[in-house]
Amino acid sequence: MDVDLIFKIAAIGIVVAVLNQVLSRAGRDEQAMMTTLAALVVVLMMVVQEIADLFDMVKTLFHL
Amino acid sequence: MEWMVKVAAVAIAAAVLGTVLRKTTPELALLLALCAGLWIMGVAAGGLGAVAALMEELAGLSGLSEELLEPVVKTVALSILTRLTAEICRSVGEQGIAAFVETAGTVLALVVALPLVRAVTVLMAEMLT
Repeated sequence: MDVDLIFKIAAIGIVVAVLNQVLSRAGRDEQAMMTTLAALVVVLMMVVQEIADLFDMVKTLFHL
Repeated sequence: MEWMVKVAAVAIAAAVLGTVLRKTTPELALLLALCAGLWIMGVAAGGLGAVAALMEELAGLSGLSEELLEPVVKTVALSILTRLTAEICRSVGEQGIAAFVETAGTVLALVVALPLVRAVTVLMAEMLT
């Protein structure tokens, strides 16, 4: 795991915030909502792998 | 020492970025905090492994059996997971889920410690009879 992932998540968040503002100003609130949801799913997929790695690490560390 | 400096740098960077994200997308701020926490735990894992190895070595020297040490190690792992999960839930304001997680962690730690209690009971019974 790398520190890059943290900055990647922050970048995705800022891009999505900008997109959200633009879309809601253009009167497309449902698409803004969809963008937020898609970003959430993408980031969740990235983080879930790391959570699985943490569980594996705890298991191997304590020989469980 | 240099690892602690890295941990501090990553934690402060993640805190700043999380504050930026919290205004617009709080759910991504949570995932960012989670990610930073996982990275920090990954850094600390090496030290934790050394401590666990030392505990096993000391237990071997003092003649403690493996099944007596195992509940202790399992309880430590359970408490680490419980605390991390509860604090992450609490940091997004889900106090209720955090309380449930803590209760579940306590119950599971008790279940893990049951063999120890049973061993003590058997020992007491042997001493009394």
